[in-house]
Amino acid sequence: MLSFLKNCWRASGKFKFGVIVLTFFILLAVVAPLLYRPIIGNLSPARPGVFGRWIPPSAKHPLGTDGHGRDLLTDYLAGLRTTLYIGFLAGVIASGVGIMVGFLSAYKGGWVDSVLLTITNMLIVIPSYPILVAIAMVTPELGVASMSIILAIFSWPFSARTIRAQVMTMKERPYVELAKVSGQGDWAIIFTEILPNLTPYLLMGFAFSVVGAMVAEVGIEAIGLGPSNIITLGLMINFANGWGVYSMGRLEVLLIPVSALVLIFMAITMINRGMEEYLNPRLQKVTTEK
Amino acid sequence: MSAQAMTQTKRQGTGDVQTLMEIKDLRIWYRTTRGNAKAVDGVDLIIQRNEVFGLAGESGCGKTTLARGILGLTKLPGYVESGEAIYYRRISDSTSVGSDLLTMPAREIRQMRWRHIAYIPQGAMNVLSPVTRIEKQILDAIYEHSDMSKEAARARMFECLEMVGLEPTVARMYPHELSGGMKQRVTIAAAVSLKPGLIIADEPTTALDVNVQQVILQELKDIAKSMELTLIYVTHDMAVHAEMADRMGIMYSGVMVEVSPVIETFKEPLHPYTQGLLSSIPAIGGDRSRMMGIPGNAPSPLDWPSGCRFHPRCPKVMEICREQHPPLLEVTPGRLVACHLYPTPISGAAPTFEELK
Amino acid sequence: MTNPQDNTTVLDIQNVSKIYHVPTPGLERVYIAAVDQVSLALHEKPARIVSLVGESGSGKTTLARIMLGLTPPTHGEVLYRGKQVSELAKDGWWDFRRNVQPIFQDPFGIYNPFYRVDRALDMTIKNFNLAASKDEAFSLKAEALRAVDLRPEDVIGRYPHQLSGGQCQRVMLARTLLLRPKIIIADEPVSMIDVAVRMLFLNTLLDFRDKYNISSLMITHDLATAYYMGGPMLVLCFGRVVESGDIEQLLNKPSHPYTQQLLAAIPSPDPTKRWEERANVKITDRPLTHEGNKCVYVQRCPHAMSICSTKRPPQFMIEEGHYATCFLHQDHHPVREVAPRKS
Repeated sequence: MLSFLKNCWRASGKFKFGVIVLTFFILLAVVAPLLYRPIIGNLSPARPGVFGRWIPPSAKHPLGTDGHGRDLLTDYLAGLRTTLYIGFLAGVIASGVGIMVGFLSAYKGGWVDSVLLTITNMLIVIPSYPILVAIAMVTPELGVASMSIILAIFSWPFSARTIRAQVMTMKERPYVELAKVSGQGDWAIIFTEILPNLTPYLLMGFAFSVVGAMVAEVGIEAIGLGPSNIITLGLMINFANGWGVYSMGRLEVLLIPVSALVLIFMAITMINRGMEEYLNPRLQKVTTEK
Repeated sequence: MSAQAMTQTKRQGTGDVQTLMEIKDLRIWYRTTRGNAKAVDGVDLIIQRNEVFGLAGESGCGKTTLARGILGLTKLPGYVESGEAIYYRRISDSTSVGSDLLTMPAREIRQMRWRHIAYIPQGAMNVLSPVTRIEKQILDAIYEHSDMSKEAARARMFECLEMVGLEPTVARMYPHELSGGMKQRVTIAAAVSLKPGLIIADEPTTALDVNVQQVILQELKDIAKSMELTLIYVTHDMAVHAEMADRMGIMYSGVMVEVSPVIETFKEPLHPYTQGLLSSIPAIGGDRSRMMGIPGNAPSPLDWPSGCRFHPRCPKVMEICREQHPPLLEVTPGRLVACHLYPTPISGAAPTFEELK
Repeated sequence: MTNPQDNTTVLDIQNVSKIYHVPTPGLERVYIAAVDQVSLALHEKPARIVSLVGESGSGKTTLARIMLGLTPPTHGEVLYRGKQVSELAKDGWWDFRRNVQPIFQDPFGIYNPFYRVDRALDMTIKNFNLAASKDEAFSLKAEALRAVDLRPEDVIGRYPHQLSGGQCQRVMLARTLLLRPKIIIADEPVSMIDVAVRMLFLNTLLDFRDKYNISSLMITHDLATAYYMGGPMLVLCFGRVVESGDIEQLLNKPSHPYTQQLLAAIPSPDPTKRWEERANVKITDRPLTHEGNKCVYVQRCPHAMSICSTKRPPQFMIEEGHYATCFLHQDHHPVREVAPRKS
């Protein structure tokens, strides 16, 4: 897996760009408390009315305060933290379920495959966004973890499908046949022949789930249906709307969370493209004559 | 061709109107992360009018890169490091005008392609669009590269389909309704539709049955003879060259090692690589003695061996072979070999390659 | 070629068919016989190389997989030393696995890109308990590699993409040699490697026959390769054996129109004898279809008669050991007696 990532890094500029940008945001999210604790002390970043409303940027509030009397820099950092956290948690859950279902489906075949594939396809065709909206409306006090799980429910089918397709083709690879005639058992074949070659697809499925979960999360929050007790970047977009930052001439209040999200999605997509390019030489510009 | 381009690339014929194409010291390299892969690395070649020229060599020798390169189809990371590929158009019985395909502006080379030089790529049956009827695919190609009227184009299309032995009804079909051999014929029909002077076919019959291969190759050859066009046929299969070619060139490690009339190549191969290659093809019938093939591995284009590139595998290697790259010399009339075993060019016969340059 | 059972018969397939269901848009169910009632036996002592010649789509790879026990046949029996392969007990299965080994077509695809090439050898040594210690395993590996003209230091520790196709394919030979099988089933082993190094591979296979008494089934589309290997030959056309016999017999007296056309159509490496100069049968390339009760070759056959499209031809004996499945011979040659089969 490490050598695979190393090769991607070397082969693709997109991958490099994505990794650099994403690492920057992850680091920012990790050290966020160190940055906002000096401003707000031990209070929850979501607590309103701590400072005055719309204080202009100063040494104490580098970006000023918002319409609820909170420090804007704190808003963004805390929002970034939760958004990434929800995205990754949902991604982990979704790919975990996806791998298990995909593997079982492809390797077992027969009725197991039919049943699992039907469930997977049903979840794919169900329009997940309205359902998420409905769930969000009836459960106002959603926590970070429960939010991630709900998001994961709708994004695992994609990775399950990818994994299933890959295992199906890999089952037929000549090296699997070679392992069979060399006396390798079924489990040895799954773990030593198939799984290592699947890593890139696992990583890609994971990245897709993360993006999917984050998009859904931002969407719900932005239209104001998310939990208001935790700050996310989506919520910040919603707030910015509500405060009417356009007429106030404070467009940056909206632009900062939007551009952060755009950059993160772009980074993950670039990483995915980079891996795809490396795996599928047809997409690659660098080819040599064989 | 615009007047300006004419003056830029206009060249007097070499004095011999029989010359169709002249490739001079052509180098096509690929940029890779581990340095330049010198896929084609100094090829000199003259293609005559109305001949079937076989381009032979094993995988990795650069034959496909060369074929695509002289069409101006080199794509990044491949690039033309140096050299010329001059295509001579005959303007009267005694004069021809040449233009360098490699320095020609993209728009002009696109016009050259189809109208003067047609290309049948590897796995050509996969180049047909699956959602378009055959007639539209051929007609579109004709319209794009000529000013033919609608009626004339249709008439020409049916003429070409007939030439490759296809029923006119094929025109209304979609590619999936045709067999592999029929699809390959469609691509040949499209290639000859504008009466090009040169067709470059790159392994057009790989993946086809031998029966189908024979039918298609014979048709291709008949068309080339009857339309008086030149055919450059690229394949690693020496037996196909024996069936098809008038002259053949053998490539090894990005260079031409032997260019000879095909009968002489097979009767008395001069270059040790050609000898090895021919001793690797079992024949049907005859004595069944052990054949040796060529020991060793083909070298990497990232790092060709010094001197003669064949020397690490050559059974007749000499001291000079390790140090000096042998030039391609005409050793008997019409036969060119790049090998230190044949050091002295013949004198008094046809002009040598060096003189022509 | 199904000689009566004797103790030199290692692998024997009898009347084997493999039928696939082809999905069609309509309700009609269409079946294709990739392998259609093929019988063939491979013997030890003396070791021989049997060639199976067929073009793409003739079912030769399916047949190879059936013989290797990788795919069960739809009908017919695959017998290893007289016992059904599908019913072998554990010991019998390992004995079969050890003695019937493959060489596949793609020299690179056969290696898991994740591992070094010598893992293929290690895996075999480990699973078949060929060595007691690491040192012994290493010397076994080195010895096997040397036996196929490879220098161990060129191969051990390398990844497949660092070797040439010819080297990769010879490592596969070394792997089979470790097991000293009775039978090697080689499916188009040289079609994807360079012409100049093919001979090395073929010569090694010949050496295996002479030095280690290993019989091979050489599956190829190339008659010239089959001729070089010598021995008996079967010609496969659309899943059926259309002609069989010793290769010399087939060349001297090709008796099925398919064999005749095949011989006429292969390019010959002699520019003085070209297609147009050789006596030629009219060749068409009309597509063939699978239909049970007719000759598979009837659509293309220049000699097709009415009986050819109503009845499946039996094997006619042209001469001793030489059979052709073609009605052209019904008046002059006897039908091959098929030995009564145990149920």
